[in-house]
Amino acid sequence: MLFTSLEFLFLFFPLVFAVNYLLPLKWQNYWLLISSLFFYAWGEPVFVLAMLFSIALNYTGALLISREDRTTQKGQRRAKAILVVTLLINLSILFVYKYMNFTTKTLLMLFPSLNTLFGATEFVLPIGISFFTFQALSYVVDVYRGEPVQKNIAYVGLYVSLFPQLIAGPIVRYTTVAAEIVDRRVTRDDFCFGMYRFFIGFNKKMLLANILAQAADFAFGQSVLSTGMAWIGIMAYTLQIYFDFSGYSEMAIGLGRMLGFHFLENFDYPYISRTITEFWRRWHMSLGTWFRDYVYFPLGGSRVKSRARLVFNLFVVWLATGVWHGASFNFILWGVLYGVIITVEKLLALPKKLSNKPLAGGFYQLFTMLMVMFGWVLFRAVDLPSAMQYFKALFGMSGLLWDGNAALYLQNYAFMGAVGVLCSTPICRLINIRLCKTRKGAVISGIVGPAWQCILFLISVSYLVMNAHNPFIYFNF
Amino acid sequence: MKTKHNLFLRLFGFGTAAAILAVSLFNIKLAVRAVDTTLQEDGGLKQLVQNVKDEYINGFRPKHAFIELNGLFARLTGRTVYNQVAALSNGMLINESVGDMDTDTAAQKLAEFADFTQNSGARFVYVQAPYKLDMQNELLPQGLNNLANARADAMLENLSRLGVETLDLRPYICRDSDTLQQYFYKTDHHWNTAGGFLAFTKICQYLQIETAACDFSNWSVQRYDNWFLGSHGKRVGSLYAGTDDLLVYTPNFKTDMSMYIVNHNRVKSGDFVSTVMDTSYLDKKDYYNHNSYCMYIGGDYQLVKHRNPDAASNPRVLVLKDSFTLPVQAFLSTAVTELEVIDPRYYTGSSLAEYVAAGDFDVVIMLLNPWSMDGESYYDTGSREAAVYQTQTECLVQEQQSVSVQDQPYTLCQLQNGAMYRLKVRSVSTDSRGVVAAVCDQSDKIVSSHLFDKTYLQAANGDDFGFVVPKQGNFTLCFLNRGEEDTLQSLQGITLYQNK
Repeated sequence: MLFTSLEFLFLFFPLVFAVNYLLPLKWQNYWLLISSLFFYAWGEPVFVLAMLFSIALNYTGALLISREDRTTQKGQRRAKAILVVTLLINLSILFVYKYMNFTTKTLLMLFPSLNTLFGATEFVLPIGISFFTFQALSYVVDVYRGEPVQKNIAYVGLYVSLFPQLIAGPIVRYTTVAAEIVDRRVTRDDFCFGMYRFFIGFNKKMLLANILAQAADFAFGQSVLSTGMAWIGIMAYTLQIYFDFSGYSEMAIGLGRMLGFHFLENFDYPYISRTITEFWRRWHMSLGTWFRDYVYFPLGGSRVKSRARLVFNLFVVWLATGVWHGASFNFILWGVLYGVIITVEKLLALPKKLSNKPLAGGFYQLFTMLMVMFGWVLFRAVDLPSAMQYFKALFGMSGLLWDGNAALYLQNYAFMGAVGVLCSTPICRLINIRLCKTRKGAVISGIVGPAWQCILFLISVSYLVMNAHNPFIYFNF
Repeated sequence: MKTKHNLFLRLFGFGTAAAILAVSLFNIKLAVRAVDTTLQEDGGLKQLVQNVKDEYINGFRPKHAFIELNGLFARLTGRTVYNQVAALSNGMLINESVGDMDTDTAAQKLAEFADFTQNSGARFVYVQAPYKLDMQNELLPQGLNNLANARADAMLENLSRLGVETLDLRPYICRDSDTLQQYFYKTDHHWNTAGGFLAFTKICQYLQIETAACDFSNWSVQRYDNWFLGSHGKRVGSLYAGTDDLLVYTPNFKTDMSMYIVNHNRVKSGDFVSTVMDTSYLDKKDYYNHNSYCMYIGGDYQLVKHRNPDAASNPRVLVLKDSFTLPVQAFLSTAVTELEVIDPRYYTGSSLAEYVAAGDFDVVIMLLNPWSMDGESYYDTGSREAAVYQTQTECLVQEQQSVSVQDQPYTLCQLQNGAMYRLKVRSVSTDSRGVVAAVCDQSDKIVSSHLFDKTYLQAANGDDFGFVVPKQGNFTLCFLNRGEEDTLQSLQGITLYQNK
């Protein structure tokens, strides 16, 4: 089920929340678990089995780890073995559903003789499997690292499957919500602020992401692309993916808050980043920190003896990041590209060096933004050849600088594009902070903000009613 | 400060929650209906999901208010192309694109049909209705691909090359922005009443049909302001591009005619307004549930037969139409005594060629606009298969002085499969407008029929019904009583011919 659907807004949402508030806490958890599983089953019922298996597997793994006597060598070894087995099973499931098709196709392409042994597979990807698998993995690893285990399987199930962040993140650590699962109160401010965040995310998704998606989809769907249209397309996509994903995260955070859960922020205006390193501290923060805590740090992080080891660690993390995003060479190249740039920035200590040099810093900020946009070409294109075609068009090598399509799409999407650019900066937040310094300003801010979001929400709902374009990019994960 | 801020936030939070809850309850029957449908269909969760989605998309209220809001937002954010609708530079709405079509093959098939028609003794004219775009495409937003005019140009050129008579209405109706605005609705894809009337006069002029109906001074005009939201307007809302005024033309001269909507077995008769108009579209303004363009004729029917004893001109005219014909059909019904209109898109009777062969028409017109020109049904005429009927001669098979029909249908005779017949009736005596003759199968299902209009028969001293019997099945020719159950209806001077 999508948050941005009529059936969620006007059926699931009021029903689940209304019943939730009427129930005592203990029963709330069971109600939310059932609702979350139903929410997941709405997309494809059979995938709930994969979800339930993941819950059972990770609950069992964590429980077994917690029962080992870690003060003894034997206990420690067994705990580690259980951890490894649990991790392997989790990753195997992820591999089968997400990467098997790509792997078999690639092997058959490289070694056609293998055709006699196996054919290309066609597994269907359960929605959100990357998110909930990583979430469940983090629980098991945290228990291994000493966090208290949750003995109630329903509570573990709730953590893994809680519908606000189930399908598209943010990736929530168990420690973030452990206390709230067991004991939480929803204050009036939690409810109202949660609703406000939900509205903001909803409006971002419907009015910015979905509208700009039309320009991006057109550009990326053309076989003959002018340079002008290519740039319009990539700018539209840059904004689309940000508002799509950050919008969904905000909705998740808002809904979570309305239920008494406080998820961490997932985006912090990534497009104002001055370096790629900074970009990944502002973009999809829950994934970045996950890889940092569960891959980079265990490999040694930056505190390693040799530069070669540092480069290796970064390479592994960024290769994994690329692979996490998708099973294709595009995503691998995308991840490796970021890995290379971040490695260079780290080795040259660029972020620190540029911090006192406004002009150089400014140029590098522009370079950062361009690299991010070029990365999105790899991300969006269906395959490498298409990505290369797109790059050719961007750099004026398609033979057509400007055409009627570019004029048409510029005319139709310039306004929303400009709004998107504005909203991707913290300007509104800064204005709000400024206003709130005075009593009158705070009152104005208090009225205008919510009122404006209400108006935008009505317009967003009108798009749902029109059954307009409503794709969500990160559903492939 | 914080307290007031919190107060507004709480007002927002609880207010919006209450509003969402209210709208949810307002639309709860959609969910109930979806569950009910799923249970009836014995469907599982997947079916339930689809049913819920469908119900909410189709039935969510207040849907139209949201469409209006959406249109307003699109307008404010500078959209000229939106929801498959594009705005011309003069503000009129068209559909986003019209693609290319194979006019060579289409023209070839029409030429074949034109030959067939001529061999049947009728004149064939292809009439090109305009697309809602100036002929030079100057009003089109840059970047939009609209090949409507190109289609029409290619079709006319091909037909001319193949020797088919053509009449291009575009120079009169969509010459430039001014004529476009004068003769087309702003929010609909059709021409308006003025455009339909101009088309009617040009057709009559071309066919040399002399009629007082072509003189505009013989018509009264009533204007309904902001009455109509057209096909494009319904997609984008009235706040996007406005609404249209409705012009209603009614004749000042006397009319007494009939219109038989064949597949509905429905007869409308009397003056122009009672017969060829659907005045329900004029009783109440309803932007989203009414298509006021259909005030003439009422809609697209597969086969309609008009009889008008008061018309000055006598040609038997057959029009093969799309929806642009509706106002033209209404005006034409005042100008000719016998008019039959087929919409090939919906027509399920004998082939078009068989209909022409059986119908004994003087003129056959195909009137199409470029957007519907690519419909296969216009070119699948069955000319080759129907050629056999053109080598046959009419032979009398039955003759009766009179026939009486009461509450049960009167069966005249059994019919031979694949044969072409012509039934002639001299007069009818009935308290209803006329008596229907029908070709029925063994389960009494009507496969083709004709109204013998009492008034028309009197004026014209008879009328005939030509038809081809389907090749499979068991068919009889019957008369059906259209009056009260126990009223006697009778027909006089019945002769049945069969082509052999």
